[in-house]
Amino acid sequence: MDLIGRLRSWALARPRVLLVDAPGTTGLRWSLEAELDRRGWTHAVSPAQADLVVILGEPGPQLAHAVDVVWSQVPAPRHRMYVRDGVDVAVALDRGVQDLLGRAGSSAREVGRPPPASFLGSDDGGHEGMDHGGGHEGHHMHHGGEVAGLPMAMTGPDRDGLELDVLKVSLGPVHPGWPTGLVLRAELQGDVLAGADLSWIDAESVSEVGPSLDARQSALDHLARFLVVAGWPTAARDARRARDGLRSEEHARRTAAQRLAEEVTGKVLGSRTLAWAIAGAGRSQRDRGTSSAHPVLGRLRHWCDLAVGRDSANPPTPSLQDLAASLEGTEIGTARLIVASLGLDPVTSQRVPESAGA
Amino acid sequence: MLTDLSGWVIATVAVLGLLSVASGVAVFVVDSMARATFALLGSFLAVAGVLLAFDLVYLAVVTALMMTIEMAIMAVFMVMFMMNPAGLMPMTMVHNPKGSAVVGAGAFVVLTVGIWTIDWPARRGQLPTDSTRQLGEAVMGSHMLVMLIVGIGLFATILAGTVLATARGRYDRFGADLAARRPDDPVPGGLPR
Amino acid sequence: MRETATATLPEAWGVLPAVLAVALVGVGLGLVVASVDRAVLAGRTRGAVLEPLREGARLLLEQRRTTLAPDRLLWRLGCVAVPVLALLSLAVVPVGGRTLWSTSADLVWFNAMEALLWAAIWLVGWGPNAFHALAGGYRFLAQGLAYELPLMFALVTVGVAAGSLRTTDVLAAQDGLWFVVTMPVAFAVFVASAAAFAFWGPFAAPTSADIAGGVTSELSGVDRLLVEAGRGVFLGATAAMAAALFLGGDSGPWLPGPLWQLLKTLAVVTALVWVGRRLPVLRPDRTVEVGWMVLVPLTLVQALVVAVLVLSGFYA
Repeated sequence: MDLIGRLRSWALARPRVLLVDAPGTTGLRWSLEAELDRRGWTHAVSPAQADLVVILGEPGPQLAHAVDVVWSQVPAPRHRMYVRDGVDVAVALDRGVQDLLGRAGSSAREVGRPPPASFLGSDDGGHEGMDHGGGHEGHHMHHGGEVAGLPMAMTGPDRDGLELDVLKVSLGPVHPGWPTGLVLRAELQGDVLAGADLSWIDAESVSEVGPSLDARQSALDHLARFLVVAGWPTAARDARRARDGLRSEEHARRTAAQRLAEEVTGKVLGSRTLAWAIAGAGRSQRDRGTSSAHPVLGRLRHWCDLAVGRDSANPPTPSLQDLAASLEGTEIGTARLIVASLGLDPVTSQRVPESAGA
Repeated sequence: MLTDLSGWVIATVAVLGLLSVASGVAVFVVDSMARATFALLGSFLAVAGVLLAFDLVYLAVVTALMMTIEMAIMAVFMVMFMMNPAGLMPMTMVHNPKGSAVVGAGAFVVLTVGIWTIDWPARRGQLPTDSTRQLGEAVMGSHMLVMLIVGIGLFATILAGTVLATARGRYDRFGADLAARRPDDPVPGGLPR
Repeated sequence: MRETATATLPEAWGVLPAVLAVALVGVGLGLVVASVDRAVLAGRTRGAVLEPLREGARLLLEQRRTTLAPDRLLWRLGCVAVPVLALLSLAVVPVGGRTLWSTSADLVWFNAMEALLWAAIWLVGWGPNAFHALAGGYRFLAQGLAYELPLMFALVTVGVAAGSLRTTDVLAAQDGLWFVVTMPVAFAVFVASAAAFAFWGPFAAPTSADIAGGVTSELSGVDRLLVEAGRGVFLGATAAMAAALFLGGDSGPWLPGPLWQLLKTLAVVTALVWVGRRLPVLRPDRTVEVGWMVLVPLTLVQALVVAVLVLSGFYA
């Protein structure tokens, strides 16, 4: 009967999902990701791509604000849902799609989307495209002040000895493949980080200790998240499947997952292309020119060893200060790889409430 | 010469010509570097369209190809020096507007007068079936030596320009005695060395 | 040379049906690419054909994204240009042995459409006034500069062997022997460049996850549909072009010509997706050096070898 309505429900039957995991909800995120993989739904890599924003657990005040910023960038039809611990994720997702359809079907247009400029000046970040200060010192005009509410930046010396414009961007705290809650305040010249500053949001309100997680499953999770950032979606999918299989009660599924874990780690470790693509990332200034230091690659091997149950000495995790310092002078993609390789988590990591600048 | 062309071709050429002039003017009117770049590209593409209407396919396509790549490279440098996406800062695109207007208008008048007053030679023989082949034979046949010299000269200019522009030489990369096994580069590159 | 070598599709079918047919072929090719890609990505073939259609319908329902202080004119222009250029490049790809438009510089036309794509993608990255999109556009240009010369030399090699830049002449010149036999390097470079200018698979750095989707990070609704569809059509058109330029196009025993061409195109698409999705995204700072230092000399040597073969009368 209602052809438009049926077409709409067919089109929106597999929405793109943007996950926001509040600290300490890792297990819940795993369940949700497993359910998404089972349904064949895809993860959104940016708010513009998302239909369904799923918030896991109870976000603190700063994270809640960041979610509002992200939410303001999601195009309609859209739906925002909260999933708490102990909820059946399959039921929750089904209800989410129903609500999304309800919003899409309702003839009343959405009102009250705040203009993007209203989020300017808020300090705890948001997403790209929103709160960067576009900076420009033209060769014809020298303006101070701001355009469209965005502050103008100054020029700065770059690594090749030139004077280039500096763009101030804050990345995170909500960003697919990025540790939720971590904010990178960056000064960018082109796609190179001229200055970096890392901090956790809601640092005061997060409990230090989270629920204990299986080491192998965590390792597979870190591996999967790293592979997403490295742009290898099929391997990331296999790593997630292995992680979810290991959580199963059935013995047969667990052995299958064990095999899959061995397969995917073998593929990752044996991949010359991946090694070639990420070799040298995270190498510090003084290691340059030597063949020895491949920190990102080393950490990847560590996660792979843990994932198949081999013993592996934990490589030291740098403090946020040291990490921020090591990000300077790297290209933004490399910086993302370095951060993803560390598997940072606000709950288990040593947190410094005040900003760790560099 | 005009009598050889059909009414449609003349109309197309006229429209594209106006378009190319209009986008050329837009280069100096708009107040954003990106828009100026792409207005210029639009002008070049209109000229390529004129060549296409004359059935000079190779010249038309090569014009479009080269000019697009050129404008894209210009955009790269623009981004390098001006991080501001979308060109928030309005900026004027002209230096010495009066002088350049006089020079531009003068050149336009001289060319137009020349084009319309010169007694162009009439075509001898037939239209070639393959204008691309004819062009190739004209360039690579009797003028091969000139083209070779021009080509090598251009290439040498590009290399010399790059060498002059780069701040880092081989001593910076391989050390004072050029003994380093691996070059010391800010970005390592993709080859094993 | 065969009889059909000079007839174009409009001469055979009329202008409007020919244009419509080629546009349909383009959309079909794009759909094929998207389906195969989906099947490999999800690890299952169920629903692979339906999913790209569903995605298209979803995007049609979606609101368009607006950002703070965008350059709306250039942004929209770039989005529209991507699929338009993809279809224009298809005009010189032979469909059933004939092209929509046959000129004496078909190969250069194909290359020019791909170069115009640079401008389009850069505009898509520049328009929304967002850092990630801009970084994606930046990466695309860096990558483009590296693959452009090898791609040009690959096309030149084909033109030298066929003695013509017309696609139908290239088809006719492969009557005896497929070009892939004597120019494997040019074939590999051409197919890899196809993935690179559709910024897909291992060359997806301009849209990769480490910069939140890069040039596509701020696209939603019909804008994203245009860019993604253009990408698919470009990839499909290049696969069809690769089948025509290197694999003999519609020649083959027993089966009718168009079917052979379809099979060869499908084979190229499947091989491309199957290999491409087994690799991680290659970072441009790595691939660029390989492009300049390895592929440029390699394709030059390939052109030299073919030129010597031409002089020795091998292709006559």
